[in-house]
Amino acid sequence: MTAVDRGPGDAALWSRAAHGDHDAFGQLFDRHAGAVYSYLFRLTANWSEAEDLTSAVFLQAWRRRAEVVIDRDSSLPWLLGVARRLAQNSSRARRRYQAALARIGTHLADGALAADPADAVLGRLDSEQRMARLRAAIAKLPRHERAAVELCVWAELDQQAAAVSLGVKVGTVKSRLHRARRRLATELGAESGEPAPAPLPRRDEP
Amino acid sequence: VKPADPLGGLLPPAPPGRDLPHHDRHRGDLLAVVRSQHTGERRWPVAAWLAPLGAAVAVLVIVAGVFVLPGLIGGSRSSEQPGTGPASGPPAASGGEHGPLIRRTENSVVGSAVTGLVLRGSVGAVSITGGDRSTVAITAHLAYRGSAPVITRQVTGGVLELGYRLPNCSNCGVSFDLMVPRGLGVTVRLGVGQIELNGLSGTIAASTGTGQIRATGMSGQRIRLTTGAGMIRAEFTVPPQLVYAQSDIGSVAIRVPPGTAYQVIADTQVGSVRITVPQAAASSHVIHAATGTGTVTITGS
Repeated sequence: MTAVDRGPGDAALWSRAAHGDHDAFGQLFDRHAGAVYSYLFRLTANWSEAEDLTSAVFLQAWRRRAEVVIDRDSSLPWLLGVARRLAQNSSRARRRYQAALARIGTHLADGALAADPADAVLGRLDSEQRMARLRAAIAKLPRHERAAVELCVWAELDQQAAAVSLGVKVGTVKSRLHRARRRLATELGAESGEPAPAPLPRRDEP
Repeated sequence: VKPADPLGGLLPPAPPGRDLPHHDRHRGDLLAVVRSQHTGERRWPVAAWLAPLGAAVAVLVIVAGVFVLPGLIGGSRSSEQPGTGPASGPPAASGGEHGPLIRRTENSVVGSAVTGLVLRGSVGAVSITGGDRSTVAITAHLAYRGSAPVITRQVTGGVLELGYRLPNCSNCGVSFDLMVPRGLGVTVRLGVGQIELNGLSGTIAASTGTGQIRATGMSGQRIRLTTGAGMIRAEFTVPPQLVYAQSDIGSVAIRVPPGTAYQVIADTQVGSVRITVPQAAASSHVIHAATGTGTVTITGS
């Protein structure tokens, strides 16, 4: 999940960032931007929105850098927690970041980003549709159980990391996953008209 | 090591993750924003769950202040009691920090032409009222045990600088009631204490660490109000050009005259936003109202 880690660990970088070291913060961005971006996509089923939100997540993380939680020298679980809270109120988070951009008059605020090649756009659309279907499949789960699925299944955190991200105990994550699994099995089984739980048809990645 | 699928394949796999597009560009912008915010950000980041607790503590501090410093936080309630305190106070040889609480009011007028006011204070409320006058009338309410606060004032280049030193004293502070020319440019910086502004038409910058800010009958073009804890209320009789109101903990309410569209930036971390003024992203009139905890209301009456 995590990018190839070279150089100082997260704890060291965050401690430098907490003292105002912008370069350290830049390294943290390099290390985790992709994972945060991918997680945001799984929450929103929208690549563009995920891209817009990624910087907002890191800005929020910077503001709360005194509160960062490190799990086995990774701040990713905590960052995903920040991302989840921001995604719940994405329009506000984006506006705040855009306002900050506008205040300093940066280029991203005006210059449009280079257009993607058409096949990349199609690939994005395809994965967005698949993601939207997946989200619909877990839409009936209670919010807490959904969050556990999003972290442990899609973001591929282990249960301890998910617990850090959610700010709960590991046992709580375990039981939420367990309940989610039971509920999904019933739900999917009922929908397909079979008494036994049947998995959705698997699609191979292109 | 990829953890085992805890759902045992109930769900098909999610589309794979990707690298952030335009990574370097986002990185550059993010760091630019971070640099621009680095100087002006709050000193003590408050965990979200601490915010309501902080609000409660802030209220307690303010309430306690009203009783511990009678006549100070409350502003003009104090009366002349020169050099005397409650007879029941414990005796103190040199009027030290366990001496009686002394309250005293000092009046003065600055007659020379003043175009700006800078007021700095650590503990005590400030009330500033604009009117058709050319002088600044100062009423300072002092409260202290031990040595008295020392009021400092000087006029430099048309700017009146007002403040005070708190020598070795406890439970001490100074609150001000000022009557000023309406068009005066006003800067207020307080540690603890509420700020009241009335009928001013100049450029305003008022901040307090803890305490509410109320501005009524304002007709200036630019106003900046910030508080660490406490609500902000600002009412305008003329459409302002730029309003910046920020509270870390507490609601923010802005009321402007009808008939003008504003570029509005409103934000709360915990609470709701209600905007009823007409909005136009291209408007040269800007209202930026934000709070960490509390409601943000922007209305056109």
